[in-house]
Amino acid sequence: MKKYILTLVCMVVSLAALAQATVTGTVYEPSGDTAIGASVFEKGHEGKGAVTDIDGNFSLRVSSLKATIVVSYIGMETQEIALNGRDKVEVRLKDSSTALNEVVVVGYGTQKKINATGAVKTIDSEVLESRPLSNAVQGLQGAVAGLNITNDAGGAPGGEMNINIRGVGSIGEGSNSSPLVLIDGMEGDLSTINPNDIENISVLKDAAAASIYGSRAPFGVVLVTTKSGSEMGTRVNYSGNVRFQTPKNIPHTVDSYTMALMVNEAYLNSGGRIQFGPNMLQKIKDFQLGKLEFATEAESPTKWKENFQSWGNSAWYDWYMKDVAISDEHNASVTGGNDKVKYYFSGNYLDQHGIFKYADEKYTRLALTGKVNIKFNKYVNFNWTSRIISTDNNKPSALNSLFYHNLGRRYATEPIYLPNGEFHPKSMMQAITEGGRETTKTQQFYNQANLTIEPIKDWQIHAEINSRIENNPYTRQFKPISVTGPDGNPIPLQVLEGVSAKHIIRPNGTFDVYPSAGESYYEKANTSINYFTTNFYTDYSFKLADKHNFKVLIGMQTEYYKREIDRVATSNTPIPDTPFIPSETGGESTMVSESKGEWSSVGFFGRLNYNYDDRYMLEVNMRGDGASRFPKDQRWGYFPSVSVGWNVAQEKFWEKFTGICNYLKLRGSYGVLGNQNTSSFYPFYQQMTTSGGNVVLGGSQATILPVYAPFSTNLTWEKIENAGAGVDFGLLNSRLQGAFDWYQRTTKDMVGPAMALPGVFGGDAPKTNNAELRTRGWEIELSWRDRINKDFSYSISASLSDYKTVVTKYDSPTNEVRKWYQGKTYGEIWGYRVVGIAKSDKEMADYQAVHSQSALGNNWGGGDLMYANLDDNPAINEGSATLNDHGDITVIGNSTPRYAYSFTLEAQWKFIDFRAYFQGIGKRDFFIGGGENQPWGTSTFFGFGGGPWQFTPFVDHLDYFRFADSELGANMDSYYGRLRTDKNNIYNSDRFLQDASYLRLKNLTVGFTLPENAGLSKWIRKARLYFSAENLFTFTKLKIFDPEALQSADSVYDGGAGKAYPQYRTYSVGLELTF
Amino acid sequence: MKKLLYIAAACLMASVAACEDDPKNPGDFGMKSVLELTNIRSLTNGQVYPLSVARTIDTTYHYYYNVYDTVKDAEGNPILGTDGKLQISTEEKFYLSKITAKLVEFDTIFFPSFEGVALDTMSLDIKSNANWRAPELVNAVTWYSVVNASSTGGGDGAFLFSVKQFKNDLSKHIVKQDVFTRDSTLMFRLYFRHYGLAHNK
Repeated sequence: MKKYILTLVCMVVSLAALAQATVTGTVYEPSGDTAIGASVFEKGHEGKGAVTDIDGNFSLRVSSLKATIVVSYIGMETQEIALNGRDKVEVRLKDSSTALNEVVVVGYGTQKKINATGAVKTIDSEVLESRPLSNAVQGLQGAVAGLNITNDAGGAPGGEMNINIRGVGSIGEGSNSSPLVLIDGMEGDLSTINPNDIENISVLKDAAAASIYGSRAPFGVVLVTTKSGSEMGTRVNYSGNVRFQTPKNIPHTVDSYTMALMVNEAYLNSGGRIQFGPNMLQKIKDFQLGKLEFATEAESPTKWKENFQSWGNSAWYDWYMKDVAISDEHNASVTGGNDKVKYYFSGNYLDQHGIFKYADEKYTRLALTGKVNIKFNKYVNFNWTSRIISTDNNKPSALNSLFYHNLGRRYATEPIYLPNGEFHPKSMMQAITEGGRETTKTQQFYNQANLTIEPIKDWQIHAEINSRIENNPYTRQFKPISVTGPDGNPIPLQVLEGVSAKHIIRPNGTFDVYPSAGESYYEKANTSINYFTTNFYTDYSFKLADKHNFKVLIGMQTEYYKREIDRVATSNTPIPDTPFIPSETGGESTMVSESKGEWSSVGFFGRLNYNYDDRYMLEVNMRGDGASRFPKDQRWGYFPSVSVGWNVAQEKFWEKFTGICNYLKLRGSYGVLGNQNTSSFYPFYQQMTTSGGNVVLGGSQATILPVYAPFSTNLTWEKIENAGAGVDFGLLNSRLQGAFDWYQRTTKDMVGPAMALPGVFGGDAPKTNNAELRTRGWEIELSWRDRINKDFSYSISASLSDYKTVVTKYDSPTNEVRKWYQGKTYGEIWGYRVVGIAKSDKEMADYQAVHSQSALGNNWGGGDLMYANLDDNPAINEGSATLNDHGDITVIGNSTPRYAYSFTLEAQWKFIDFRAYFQGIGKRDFFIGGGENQPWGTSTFFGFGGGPWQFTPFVDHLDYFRFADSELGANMDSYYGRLRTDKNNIYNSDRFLQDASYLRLKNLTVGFTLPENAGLSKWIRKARLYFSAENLFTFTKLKIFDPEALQSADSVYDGGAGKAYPQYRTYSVGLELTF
Repeated sequence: MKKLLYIAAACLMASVAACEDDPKNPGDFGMKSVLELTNIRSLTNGQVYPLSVARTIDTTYHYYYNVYDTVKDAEGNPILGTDGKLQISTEEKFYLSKITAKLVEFDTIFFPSFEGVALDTMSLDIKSNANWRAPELVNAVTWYSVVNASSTGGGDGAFLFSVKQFKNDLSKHIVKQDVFTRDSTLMFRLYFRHYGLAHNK
């Protein structure tokens, strides 16, 4: 018995000894040097680790000699070594720049980069880290070649940016060529997701990569993978930053006296009269010198003088713009787990303020994420993700595009204050501070469940259920505002300047409202969205004869989308400070609209991957989609794609070159996708929408029901054909890596106009699928990583891309050059060529005697532009502005951004890290004009924009032609022609075509990481302090404007170039802690 | 450390701001107005009428402004009018300006009448680097008229006027035509008279 007990004890002791073993070893760098300070721990027990000493040696207590240890070192690939009973190991690290094992995220799975045959680029969260970003989209700008992100509408808090992959994909009416954004496999909003939750982002650029997603992804896919738990023990992370935002490219307006002189000159030069006489000019001067206390007086008992009748000296941008706006963001996450359960929970709060004083704009975002992964056993794995995102955008109702538009053209003579101490109505202060608020909220609730079953090795069955529920309330209020008149009585004011008493329900159900002065208006809307999708797919990988590797994937997807928008408004709010919709029946002051829509789709997809010995690859995708949005006989579309690849560097004959080029892959792809992303849910259904008619019946405006336009029953999908080829390479042990892609994308069956029908038809010809667009482009990406010694490593990466888009088919009835026509290059700018500026009346008279410019205006004289004659007709004009008769206008440039590039410099020295990220556009022409409907310049560029109300005189505009007698000094070698209130000198022309190319230091970050041997390291695993700046420097020849804020508008009420919310420069200080 | 950080941040922001060029007015305030009248030529028959300077005067402009005040008594209290309202007094104050102008007067030019030429259009050729004006006469004269749209101009140009044929010997009225730069630093005064057809006999 004793023997047995002794044996048992020995066994237990030996078991215990086995369970508590010590393993020792040495870690070496690829160069053969010992690695000092490498981290060694047992997998699953990160909290108890060891660090190699000066000789690279370590000693680690492990639970058993059957454990796996993990060795990690900065700049090196992390290695896992199974002890398999050994108590002494030697570890040789590999450079982490080795590309062979890099993985890219593709549709419904991942692939080793060397085996990927489509155009895919995966970037990790590093591009988003430590940057004061409002959203993830902002951080992606310039990060991936071919991923174009623009922010033309300005930098308003909560503002959205535009994304496209490889350029514009469609000009079809009502079509959308944005890429599909999937967050963990479900369509989501990249602008609201917490950037700190992102693990990596994959951009699928071509059909081979995107076709697995079918008709929802004709123009590419952006796959976002969020962070998950890990087995590395529990970690608590906190990161926070404070941001200081300063507006940039704020125009410098001239003082009121200079403005008055400019106005006088403009009117005189156009044949009019001066607007500011000598007395008024003197008053303006006296007010500037402080001799006059007030800048206005009573015009009548009920009106204060304004516009040219007042004599203030107001710098409106200075009055309204803050020097600095402060925002902050906080993010906390808990992550951890073991081999059975992993979890990730995060919370993010962003509080962003705008840069307009008095407006109290605020954008807040709260994002909560919970992800749990449960491995029930070796066969079954389950993931659950819930995400709540709530955003709140609160600003004055008066702070809209019209405000920015009017801010630009607010006269400097308008006073800020009245003699009675109140704000002058033209200051817009009552509208901003008391005119009511507009709130836009989004509340998104994502739930995703993913079950993966692996019955046998390499066969996985996936079942995913995803849901997104959105509830987006919206309110807008216009409060009655007034100012005290000269007689002491209140004068009601309009909150929105311009049109008064406009109450229109647009066809899409939104309200176009300009309330009357003194009107009390309250609008409330709610958008409910239910989006539900399921994915069921299975994939199986197998090998035949050792070298033939197959992976087969088949699956199906369903989608259901429902949206309801209810909107109600009233012009009768009894208590303006507590607005509500009062109960009433048959009220005339109420507007109501409701919009409902739903669609569904089902898709079946399959993919076959084959590679022979990791050398020859073939991938075939097939997807069939049915969408409810098309007529019954047009519902189904089939979208195949094929791609091939050849890993040249894996060939035997390449062995002798491996030392130089260890990775070389050639690939090509072709595929067809369909586009069901029309703006209307059911474009083939026509609607008869009621509206107010030009008929009065019974004393009131009659409601009419116009007949719908003729339509085609053959409307069907747009089809996008993608073809491309590329090469990926790695040189010098993948320290230098790169890729080159060439592609062609043809969009067919775009919706366009049909040939005109005879007038007896009585209507416009219906639109049909009869247009085509072709884009050709290329992309280059290069990156270099190196480590000089154990303290210093650096990397440089760069990208360059370009594309050109041409309309290859379009049945334009008129071939107007400013609209679409066959052969038109996207972004074409048509305009005149300018000979020069006439230095005198005589020079102009002599020129006019040969080339009459009467079609372009009257009262030509010295200081005006002489436009070139390009055709046989001696008169200067644009003919009928058609291809066959375009007179003296010609293609003067192209506004497509060309040669988009970026480069990043990163370095790490001991505990200091540095990152500089540059981004730019190599070539872009731009004419700051009013768009195709107004082929002349806007006032923000010229100072005077072709109408008596379009004045925005900036100091930049002072470079206009002036004779020697001018009080502002002679300027006879000027950039602009002389000032005019008409359009004579501001037509689209090559003289004023701007070079909008730029180079911008987009981000500069310097970080300090707490060294491991610092005192705090006992409690804090990692601490990093960083300083970061966005949009620090810009190098551009563009005058006046920010090259990223060149919104062109057909309607000046959309803001227009230079009249959008300003962009800003951001400085931030941040802290990252890991406990 | 905190102070150092603030100083570093301030230097960074200042350096960024300094890199941005503020726009400026490129106007050349040193360039003075130039106005020269070369000659008068008939566009009808090409006859040239040279200009001969009679005298030149340099002068400085006087300006004035009004000073408004309420009417007060000896003790400084405002005196109300019969309507019970405040009474406002106005006083003109004159001062010399910094602008010195040159006035050039020419000898009188006599335009003849020609048989068969009802209207003789003349061109006064102007060399200038400034805006100029040749305003129409306050009191119209029957034989003299200015061609529309030529009474203002910029830079080199021409001032056009017409002389109408008449039968008498010599015009009773002397036309006094001013041509001056818009900033009034240079003024030319021309005197015209007109011989009628009777003068030719």
